[in-house]
Amino acid sequence: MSPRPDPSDRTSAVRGAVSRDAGLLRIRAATKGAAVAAAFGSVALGLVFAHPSQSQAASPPAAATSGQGTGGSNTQAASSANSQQLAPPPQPPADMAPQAQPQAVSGGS
Amino acid sequence: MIEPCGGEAVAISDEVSMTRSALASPVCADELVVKSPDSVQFRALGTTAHLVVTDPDRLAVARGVLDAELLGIDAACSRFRPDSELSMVNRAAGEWCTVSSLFAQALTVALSAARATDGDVDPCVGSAVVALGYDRDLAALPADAAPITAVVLTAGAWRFIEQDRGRVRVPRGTALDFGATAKALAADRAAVRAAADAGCGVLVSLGGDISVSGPAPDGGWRVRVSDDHGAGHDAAGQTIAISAGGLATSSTTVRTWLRGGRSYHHIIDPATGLNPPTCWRTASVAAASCVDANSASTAAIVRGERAAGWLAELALPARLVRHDGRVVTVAGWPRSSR
Repeated sequence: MSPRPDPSDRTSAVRGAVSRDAGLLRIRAATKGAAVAAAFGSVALGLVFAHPSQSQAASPPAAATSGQGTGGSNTQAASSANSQQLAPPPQPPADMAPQAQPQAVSGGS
Repeated sequence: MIEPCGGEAVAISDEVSMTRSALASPVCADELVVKSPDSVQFRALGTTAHLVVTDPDRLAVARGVLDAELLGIDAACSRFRPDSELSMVNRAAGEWCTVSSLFAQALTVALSAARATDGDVDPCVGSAVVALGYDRDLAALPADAAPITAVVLTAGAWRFIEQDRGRVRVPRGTALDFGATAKALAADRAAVRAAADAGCGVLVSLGGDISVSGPAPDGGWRVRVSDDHGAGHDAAGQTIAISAGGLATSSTTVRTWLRGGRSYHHIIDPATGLNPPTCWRTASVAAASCVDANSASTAAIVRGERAAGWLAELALPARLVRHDGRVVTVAGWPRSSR
């Protein structure tokens, strides 16, 4: 995902100091530019976490060996950014008398 | 898990007749069980497919729809078919692959399940499943095999899968496994389409992952909930009725194998690449769809003690069975009448 600055944004006033490389902004200006780069970097990072599955720039995380369980905090962050819930049924199941002949069986497979 | 046909035997009770007829499935035509005029049961995807309709005259129409869905999902998502799209994508990990709309939907569903479960249902556990020894049809696994030394997987890799207009790229070193969602997706798709085409109520069960659509019978669809979908109607458990949506059961006592004398099952904790710590023997969940139900039931096994509170928060009716047989019910799941 390539963050593109709004032309009306005040950062666009840094004339001739901004160029794009593979979707990331490269700031040439030495002093002011550093602060602007940090701002855009935050935006880019936020977008990466907001839409991780479509990120073109993100790199896969390092492999984890069994038992290390390293993915926790990032997983939580990604999930909260992509809030999506499993939906309940229109009505909860109803208990049936034991003698009711089942039409199907739900069990492990 | 999606598997090819063959291997396990179908349990045939006294009232069930084995036959080969025009209803034979192209998915697995030589193992067919017809139970009654309004239902048919046969082998497919390495498990049992069960179709029930409210109008017996429309059974053949519904069956045609189900067969088409089974063929499609098998060709797209089988981990055991080298020519499946999933196998192709896994072999090309790191590169873009052009995929069918069905595969794209299956991936979208799998990623939605991952997001909805905070990654507890992870489509990128393929390499872990294989490392634990489940690398072929369950019936073809050796009685026991060498102990497992290490399982390596890329934590949270599902967040880096890319989709773009019919193309897919998975991170290098990652292997997809849609075992937690593909069968449920096929059940949902088949039930909705079959009910529309047949014009009656339809229940589709794929290995105990159940989806219903159209008008339900009086009192709802009666379903026996137990550890093993193949154990029969008299197995220990509870009989309930549902009128819409889906119902799924995940169990740690079915689909197991030995490595170094230790028993393993097919549910993977993505945080470790191993089976989750023992808590629930069986988790059954009712939801708006079979995909949601199966995602929740799988996540419940992974989450262990945290599952009951999580399911209650989502208002998902559930029945959780501890290994000693004690039952915990959540969010309106009915208590058993016996």
